[in-house]
Amino acid sequence: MLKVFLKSLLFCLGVCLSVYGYANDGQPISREYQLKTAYLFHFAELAEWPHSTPVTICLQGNNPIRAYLPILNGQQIDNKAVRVKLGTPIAIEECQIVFFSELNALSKPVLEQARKYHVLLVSDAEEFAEKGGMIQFTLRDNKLKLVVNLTAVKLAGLKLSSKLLRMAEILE
Amino acid sequence: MLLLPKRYTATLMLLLHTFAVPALCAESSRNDIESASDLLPLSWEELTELDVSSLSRQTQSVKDSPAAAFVITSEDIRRAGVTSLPEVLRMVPGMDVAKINAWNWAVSARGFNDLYANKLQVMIDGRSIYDPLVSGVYWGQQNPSLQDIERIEVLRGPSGSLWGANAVNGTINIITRSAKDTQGGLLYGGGGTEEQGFGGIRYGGKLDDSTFLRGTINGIQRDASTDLSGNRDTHDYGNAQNGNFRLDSQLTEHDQLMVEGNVSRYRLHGYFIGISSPTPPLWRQDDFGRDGFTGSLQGSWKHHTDSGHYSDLNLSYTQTDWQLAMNEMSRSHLVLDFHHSLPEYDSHHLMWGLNYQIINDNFNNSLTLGFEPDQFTQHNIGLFLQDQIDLSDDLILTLGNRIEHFTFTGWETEPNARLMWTPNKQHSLWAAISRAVVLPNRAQHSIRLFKPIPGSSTFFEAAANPQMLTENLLAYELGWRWQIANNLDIDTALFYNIYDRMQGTKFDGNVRTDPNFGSILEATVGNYRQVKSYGLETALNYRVNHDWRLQASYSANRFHVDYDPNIAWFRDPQTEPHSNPQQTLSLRSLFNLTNEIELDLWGRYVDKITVDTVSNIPAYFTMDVRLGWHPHKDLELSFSGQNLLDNQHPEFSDILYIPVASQIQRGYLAQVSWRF
Repeated sequence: MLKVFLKSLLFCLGVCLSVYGYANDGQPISREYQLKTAYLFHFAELAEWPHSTPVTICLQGNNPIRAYLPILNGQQIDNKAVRVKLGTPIAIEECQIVFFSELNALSKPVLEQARKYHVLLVSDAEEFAEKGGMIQFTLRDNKLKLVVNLTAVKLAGLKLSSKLLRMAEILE
Repeated sequence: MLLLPKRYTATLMLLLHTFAVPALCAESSRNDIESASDLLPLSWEELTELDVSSLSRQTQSVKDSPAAAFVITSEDIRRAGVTSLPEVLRMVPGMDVAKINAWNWAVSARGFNDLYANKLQVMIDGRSIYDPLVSGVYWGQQNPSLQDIERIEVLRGPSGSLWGANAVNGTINIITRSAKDTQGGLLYGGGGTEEQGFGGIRYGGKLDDSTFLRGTINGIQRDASTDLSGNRDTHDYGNAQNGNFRLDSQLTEHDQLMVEGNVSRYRLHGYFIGISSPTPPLWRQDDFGRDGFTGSLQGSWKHHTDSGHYSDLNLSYTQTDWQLAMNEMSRSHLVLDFHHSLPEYDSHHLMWGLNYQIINDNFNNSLTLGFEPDQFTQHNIGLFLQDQIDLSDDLILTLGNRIEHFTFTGWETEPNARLMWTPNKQHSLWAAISRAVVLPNRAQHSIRLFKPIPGSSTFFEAAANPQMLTENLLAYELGWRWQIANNLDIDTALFYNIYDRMQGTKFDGNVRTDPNFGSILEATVGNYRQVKSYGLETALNYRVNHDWRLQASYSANRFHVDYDPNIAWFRDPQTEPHSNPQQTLSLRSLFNLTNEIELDLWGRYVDKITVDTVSNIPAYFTMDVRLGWHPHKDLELSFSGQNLLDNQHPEFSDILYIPVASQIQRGYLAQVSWRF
């Protein structure tokens, strides 16, 4: 019981500290994750799965975005509600989009499963797209930019809107 | 809105250390988390434009401000398929945009439209582009590359306390893209039946890690239109070229510098008033037009401190030289502007500012048109103070005032009070009372216009009135924003305006006899009338899905004029009710047929008007269609048809200007743009 309490305390501290990172260095970290959350919402619209399906967004590991993802739960896309799953461990076959907190988690079996179950892999970890991930957030000149590994996207049987690709850097 | 004030943060951190954590954390970050949901209604294009650590949250703050606001995004501009600034403004509710000929426009907000509409403040990156000679914008002289515009913020209604005299019926702020956002190259161009050819090239580079520079060169060539009878060409062909650079630098963590320069050259043909001469023919119309050059240089230095002070220093210099067949002008215009906003103190957000401008002009007068004295310098100075008070969590009161001193009229004051109530995320309501003034312009103070009365061979001389006072507005406004769903919102504003000391032009009864010209009637301008107006504006935005967006704007207004019917008026004393359309409607559909192909439709209805009791302009409904194709991620091709529903239709006229009033013809336009 105490362990659970301490764990949640530590987590909460982590979130609070990151949310209020602004106070320390003048950089509103919260803003960055608010934006990433809104991007994920658009990814659910701008990606096309082989079979039309309601979108479930899952989170691997711990990342400040955890605090914001719940706002997407229940939002409608084409009259279907988006679901958000923050529980661990994640069952990848139940997700349409997985946000990876750690690059290490992108193992070979995970990539194979993502291909098999048509899962869009997203992260803000560096080199994520190079290592087989699909959409990677990077910061450039104070704006969020996307790096897309188009080969990985195609191998998973997914299609991304050209609206998204137009502003992305593409690895093929 | 997105960031909590620091003192809460500090308290929070302190409490964290006392282990009162879980409940408090959840409670306090809720605001921050909820504010993320404010981003969900944004379109993909709007979202991708946002900065990560943004100290400038203007897009949001304009929409959240207690005023009738509308934001035109770069996506709106691109998908309108148009090539000039006034055309873009047609999508804004409450804006009246009418084309007079290829280069001249009548643009105003909430009525009072005219070629010389004088109640609109227009700025590019904070530098005013309205012309102090007539207090209006010569739109034909403003041909920036539309690709360089990040967004256009339009505020209807008075905002004199922030933007000074002439921000009476509206303020338009055109914000160009930062050099940082325009790295690499862009080549674009196109041509068609009316827009014969236009094109531009832009290139942006990085000077060092925090300094960026870009340059743009563009040009445009336009065909002549047809006259009101539909038979004759109105000679209003012409061309314009523009060169622009912008440098953006993050000097330190706390300091940002922006320097922008612009040169424009234009040769705009078409009749302009005509020439009077003491030898026969006494009066001659010809293809006179206007040739000119404008150069400007501006700089802005933004500074903020860790304790929450923001300051912004702007300096701009504009040199304008043009020549008409009957006059020449050379003018320099220097503006110094400083804003400072203080950290929140006990629910008060204070902001103050100072501005100073010096305008020096020089005319080469002729018999037809003169300005006396032919050389004049104005010094205008203003001081404003604004306090935004958080009365409670959902109620914000804004009090502001500006005191200005003008060379022409002395001291003026422009106070306003605004209240905004946001009971929940779906609704916000606002109300405002403001006073604003229209400064008499250089023309009203010093013009001498000598020509025949339109439709007659009798000459008149319109004389200036150095005693001309400001026109004063008292405005009452109400507004309601309703976010019905994430993808659907409606924004409505109501206004009731009382304008005192409105300008009117009358014959003053004096008749002079001249050996060459015979009888000459004398006319003069003065503060002779009172006008009341009321109206409604509404804008609806519906993102059906990510491939289809609908946007509608509707406005309606009515005018009542008090004037002396016994006076022999030169210009229609009932100009406002007669020359403003009672209703306007704009309906846009932006649809992605496929990922690469866009089909955009734009329908516009404008009610009938009568200009100066003689020119009846019928109501019109017209439509533009644009087909866009992105064969490659850096290449865009588009084809547009404009004003498709008739061969031609008139949109405006002007008594002093009748020979040039043109009909707007159906046009086809092909465009290409390539990023490299």
